Parts: sequence; structure tokens; C-alpha cells
Amino acid sequence: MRQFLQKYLCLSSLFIILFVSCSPTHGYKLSRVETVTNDLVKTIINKDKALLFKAKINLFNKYYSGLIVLKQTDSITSHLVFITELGMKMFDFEIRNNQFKLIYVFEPLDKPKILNLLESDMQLILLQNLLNKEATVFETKNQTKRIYQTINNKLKNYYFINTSTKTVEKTIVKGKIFSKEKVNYFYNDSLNAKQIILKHKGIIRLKIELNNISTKL
Amino acid sequence: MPKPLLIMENGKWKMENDISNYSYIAFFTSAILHFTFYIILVCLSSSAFAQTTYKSVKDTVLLKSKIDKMSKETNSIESDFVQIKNLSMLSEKVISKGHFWFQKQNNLRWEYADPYKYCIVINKDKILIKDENKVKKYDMNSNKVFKEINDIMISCVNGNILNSVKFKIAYFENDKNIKLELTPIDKAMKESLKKINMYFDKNVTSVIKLDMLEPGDDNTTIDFSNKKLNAAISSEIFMLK
Repeated sequence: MRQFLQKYLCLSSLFIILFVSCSPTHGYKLSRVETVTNDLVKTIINKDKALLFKAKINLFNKYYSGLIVLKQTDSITSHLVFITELGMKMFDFEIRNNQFKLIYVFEPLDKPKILNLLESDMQLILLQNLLNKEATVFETKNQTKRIYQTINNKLKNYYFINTSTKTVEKTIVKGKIFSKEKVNYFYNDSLNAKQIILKHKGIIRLKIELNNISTKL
Repeated sequence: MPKPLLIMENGKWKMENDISNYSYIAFFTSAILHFTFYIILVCLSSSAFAQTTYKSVKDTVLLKSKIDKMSKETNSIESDFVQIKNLSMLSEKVISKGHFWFQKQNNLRWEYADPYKYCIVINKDKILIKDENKVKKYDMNSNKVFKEINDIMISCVNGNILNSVKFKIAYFENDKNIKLELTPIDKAMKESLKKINMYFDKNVTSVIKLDMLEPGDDNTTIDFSNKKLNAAISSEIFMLK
């Protein structure tokens, strides 16, 4: 009986250690709750100029490549347009007041399952579930790193912020136990993301890679 | 500072109501100046108009025979190209540049070099795509969309489009070029393509420009330059490793 209890205790401790160390906020301290504005986190869409990305999308064993154009057309409206290298438009999303609206989709992509996935992933990439939303704030002791936690569709979204540049470096969408999606943002000298990589984990096989080539626009 | 006598309002010249401060001489001088300026403007715009306005080709039989002759005589084309994508919501243009090869019957290579590296090769019934360093192969016949794109691309380049039953064709010309307006007949194609304008030089030796218009005012223009017609092309060009 004693041996059984010892084994049970060891296993439980191991699970607790694993669970705590896997938490995205491990090493951070709960600080406060605040509304996340553009002053706190830099948006991915640049309000002053159009951004052009070379895009690679692996979706359910199909590969789509092309160009993604991100453009703020007025103070509340932006567009996200995907065109092939040959110039054919694949889809066009209008983002007005943080709401996505499908303006155009090329027939082979016009499937609810694909469109819903693309829409939710683009929302995640563009920080639509963070900006102007109330978030729980976690910070490191020296306050150089910050995590905003929001809840979207019952899933926790964690946004890792570099407080000196106000740029988001990583986003993790987490279910009850495991991560479901991860977005990594890479920057060089510019404050516009040089590369954005989104990966789904689990059954949904989707990877989106965006490489910024805006200087050529 | 006196007010002008003629003012532009809603694109029309309009006389200022209050002319009591001006003498009739000043009024007529100003009117003549404005009139002269207007005449010069009309002359300039009409000369520019004359260069770009197309009128219907009267002898379409002759033109068709010229295009047919060009198609038969063209065995290969090598050219630079500049592709300009206009999106109606975007004031900036998405410009890509590259090189292009065509060889009869069904070999084509579009190679984009700037601002991204991308290459699409059509080798008979195979489509090969090289995106940065990865090569993907597709069977043309297994993909309806690819087959449609291939048919349009090849027939546009070599002029065989005249034999296509998928488009209604109208023929136009100005003092410099011949223009073919290709309007899709198929309902599904109409949803993604409103029209293709194909431009030839006046002697109909090759296609110089393609303009693909989409519903919703977006369009893609491809300009061909530094063309080499019927030069030898290595078969390796139509392979990708």
C-alpha cells in the first residue's frame, strides 16, 4: 500500500511539474488586466504603407503559393488579398472595425472548412483577437517581456511582447492541455515583421509562411 | 489679388458673377487667354487620344490570316517580361519581372526573378513549379484548373487563341497596334476573368502585351520585351531539378 502511494505521489508530482513548465506564462508573474491598444502593441498592418508578403500555404496536403497584400485603405478598413505569382486573385478579405468579410474567393478555395480556417488564422496573425480587447497581463521581473492572455472561442491566446519595441514575437493558442496553434514573428531592423510563420498542431495540417518583400512594392 | 473671371467648377468653365471690378478689356483678354488654353488642351488630348483609341478592324479575314501565319511561323519565343498587377483597393502596383521561353508545341517556362524567385514550367502534359528551392510536379490532366490555365497561356503566346471556342473575339487596331478582345463564354470562367486584351505589333509578328481584366476592376498586365523569335532553345530549359 505504501509503495503504491509513493508511486502515485511521484507520478502526480511529475505531471504537475510538466504541466507547470509547459504553461506559456512559466517564468512570468501575473501583473494586471488591461485593454490592449495600438500604443501598447504595434499592429501588423502598417497604416502608412501597403505590405507585400511572399506566401506559402500548406493546407491538407495541398500547397498554395503567392503574394499577400496587406493594406489599410481608410481609418477603419484594411484589406488582405492573396494573389498567385501569375497574378490570379485567390481571396480578398476586408477587415472593417476588426470584423472580417470575404469579398472574393477563387472557386476551388470556396469551401467553408478552408475559408473558416484561413479567416481565423489570418485574424490570429493580424492580432485581431488582441487589439482593443481586455487582456490579462503577465510580466517578467525586469519588465522587458510581457505576455497578454485573451480568451477567444474558449481557447486561451498568449501573445509574447517585446516591451522595448512593442512588437509581438510569438502567439500561442492553447486548449485545456495542449497548444493548438503557434505563430512566430521575426524582425530585423524594421518594425514590420520580416517573417511570420503559423503552424497548427494536431489533426489540422496547416502551415502558413509569410516573407516580407514590401520594399519592392 | 483680383479674382479670376473664369473659374473651373465641377469640371466645367464658369464665368464669375461679379465682374464689376474689371474693365471689359480685361474681361475679353482673360476670356481669350482661357479660350486659347482650352483649345491647346483639346488639341493635346485629342492627339494623345488618337494614339490610344482603337477602332474595329474592317478586314478581319486578312487579320486572322496574318495571326494564323504568325502562329505557324513561330517555333520558339524567348523574352523578358514585366508583370503589373493592379488591385482596385491598392494605389501601389505589384510589379514582378522575369524571363520567359516558349517552344512548340507545348513547352513553356515563366521564370520570375524579382521581387521573388518562382518558376513555372509546362512540359507537354506536366506542370513543374519551383518555388525558391522546392520543385513540385503536377499532372496537367489531373487538374482542371491547371489545364485551363495552360490552354490559355500557350494559345495566348502563340496566337492559337483564334481557334478557341471558349472566347468571343473582337478585333481592333490603332496606328501602332492590333488588339484582340477575348471575352470568356463559359460562365465559370467569367467569374474569375472578365476579358483578355491581347496586343500585337502592327505587322503581327508576335504578342507584345497581355492584359487580363477581372470582375471588380483588378487587372494583370504582362509586357514582353527583348524578344527573340525562333532562336534555338535548349530542352533543359523545360526541365526543373
